[in-house]
Order: sequence, then C-alpha cells, then structure tokens
Amino acid sequence: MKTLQVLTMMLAALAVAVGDTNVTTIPGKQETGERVTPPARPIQPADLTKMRIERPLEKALSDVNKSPTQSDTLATGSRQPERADVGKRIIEFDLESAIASAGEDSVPDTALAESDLPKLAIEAPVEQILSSGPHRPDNPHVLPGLVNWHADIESACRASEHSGKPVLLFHLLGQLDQEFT
Amino acid sequence: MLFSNENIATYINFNFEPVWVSVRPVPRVTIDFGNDVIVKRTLHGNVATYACTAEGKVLDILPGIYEPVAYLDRLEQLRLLHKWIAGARDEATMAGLLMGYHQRQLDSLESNQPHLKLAEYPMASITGAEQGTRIVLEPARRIAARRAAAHTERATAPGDSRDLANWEALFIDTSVNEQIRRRDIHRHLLEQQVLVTPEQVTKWLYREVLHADLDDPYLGLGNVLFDNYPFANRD
Repeated sequence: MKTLQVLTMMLAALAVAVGDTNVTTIPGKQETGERVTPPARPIQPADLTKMRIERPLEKALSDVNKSPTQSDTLATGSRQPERADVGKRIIEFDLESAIASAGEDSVPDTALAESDLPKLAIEAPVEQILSSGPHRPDNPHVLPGLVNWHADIESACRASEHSGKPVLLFHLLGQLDQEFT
Repeated sequence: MLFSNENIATYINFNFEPVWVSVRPVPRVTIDFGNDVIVKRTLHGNVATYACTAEGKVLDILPGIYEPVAYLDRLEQLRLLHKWIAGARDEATMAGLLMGYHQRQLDSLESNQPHLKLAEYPMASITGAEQGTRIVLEPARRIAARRAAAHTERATAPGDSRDLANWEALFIDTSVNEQIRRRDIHRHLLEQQVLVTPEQVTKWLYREVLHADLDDPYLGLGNVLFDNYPFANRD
C-alpha cells in the first residue's frame, strides 16, 4: 500500500513537470473529475556522500581482475569500462620489480593499459627528426684508443700461439668503444 | 685514455696480443644544470688488465686504473713474467714457477716493501758471445733506485691539468692498486695452486678487490636507489 502511494506521488510529480494536469487526480475524487493540485513534496538533499561518488576501494580492486577484455567489449558493443580507482601498488609496479623484469615480457596488464598512447604521442614525426640535423647518440661510438685490439679472446689466444706474445686481456665495465665507459 | 697514449699503445701492439672484454654495463648519469650545461659521467666503472698465456691462463693481474708511466712499467713486468714462465716445459712446472713468483711478491708486500721487479740480463757464453737473456726478480735496493728515478721523471714531466692521465688522483689510485689490491690478488692466485682462467677469478676480483659485484642487479647503486625510497614501508 505504501508503495502504491509513493508511485502515485511520483506520477503526480511527473505530470506537473510536463504540464499535463489531466492525469493528476486524487483517489476518491475521480468521480467528480475535480482537478486538484498534488501536495508539495519536501525537497530531500541529494545523497552526495563519498560512498555514492566514489566506488569503494574493495570493489574497485575486485573489478580490476574481472574487467572485460577489449574483444569482449567490441563483441557486445558496450562502452569501455569505467577506470577503476585503484591504489599506487596497482598502478605502479615497484622499482625492484621494474629493474628485475627488464628484458622480460612480464609487464603487468595495468601498466600496459596505462601505456596505450597514440603513436604520435610517443614518437616524434620523421620530418621533425630529419629537420633537427645530425643526431648525436646518447653514448656515441668512439675509437678504442690506438691499440690494435683482437675481436675476442679466442682470436687473441690463437694469435698468441703464433707470435709467442702474451695475451693482454683488458676487462672493463661498459664498452671501450663508447664514449662513456 | 690510457690506450690513446701513443707510447702505451705502441708498446702493447708490439709486445702483446690485446683484447678487451666488457664484463658488465656501467651506470651512467646525466645532470642537467638547467642553464644549457649538461654533465654526463659514469658511476662505479672499473677495469682490470690480465696477462695470460696462449692457453688463456692468468699470469698476473693489474687491478684498476694506473697513471701512464706506472702502467707502462707494469706492462713491461707482465711481458717479462710471460717470457720467464713460458720457458717452462709443462703446465705443472709453469704453475710452480708462477706460485713462487706470487709468493715472493706477497711476502714483499706484506713486509710493507714494494713489488719485486723482474729484470732481463744478457747471458754471455764462455767465449763472451751473447746467448739470450735471463730474467730475475730484482732486490729491493735496485727497485728503490728505480723508484727514485721514476719520481724524478714524474716531477719533471710537463703537466696538463686538462689531461686526465695526469690527474693527481691517478697517482693515489696507482699506489693503492700496487700496495693493497695487488697484494690481495697475489694471495688469491697463490691459494688456487693451479693456473686459472680469467673467468674463474673475474667475479671474485670485481667483488672483493674492486668492490663492484658483477651479480648486483642494481650495478652498485642499490643504496642510492632505495635508501630514501619514501614508499618502502607501504610496498
């Protein structure tokens, strides 16, 4: 019964909003066809608390794992899922993991999603690169001194067998034929 | 820069079969001062020079970087060491000679004396005709005389502050290399009791002597990267 009353009041409010007074009647007064004005509803303040605006963290985290894939989205034609409000740990992967996983294909899905940028945003246009003049690499190639180095230790040892000279093996961190070694 | 020195390069080309090998990448930093001044440099770089036989066995090692005059002198010592050892009839004899060399050098350094030096003297037959050379480890007093001569040479050498090879710190590093780092190397090679390859000692050398652990994934920068990381507790 209470539900019926609420529905009736909502219909009345809708009718007022669109200007149609014909549908606005009060039960018990229909026989006379008397037009009445619905009682004014008290305006309730909107529920704009933090819980209504933001999704709870627990839900956001659980949604990250079960969010639909891109192919699912295309198949259903639905909109892209809302970006989850996730914590730092989910967005970034810590520095130790980043260094340890260098060269591996184990980049987290969230990181891939974040890095999905258009090509132009990542690379400079070819024309711009060409017009900027000769490019100086970050660590340019240099002559490794005036010494006639062998290509590898095996060839140095083979040469040593023939010449009778000792092998001089120079170990270093970095590359001797780069400017910064 | 050492290998751009014409004297050193010529000496190496004439007396050795040289080869360089990178044992690990080196971290680089770029500092942009914001006023168009940008400084680039490497961190924790370090080098080592091995003298090896044709079979790839290590005779001796020069750790770190040397000033040019001292480096040339040590290269001459390595050449003589090879010549001395190469006369052995088999590997066991060669190992015995080499262990004796490292033992005597270690004894000298542990007595706070400088390295003994190999010297090559001509050998004459009964008739006086020259018959090759002999190589000996020189006594300490002869070495002292040579050191004094080298000191004089260094003091009178034209200096150029822009030339890193004349950088004062190089002389300090050279001294540490000779007195401390090479002492550890002689001891380690002596403990092996057999001839070893560079691969068998390289990790030890970089970790224990040059303090650059080749297995460190952070290339020696772990403290810099993580000591002040603000989210360490949160992660």
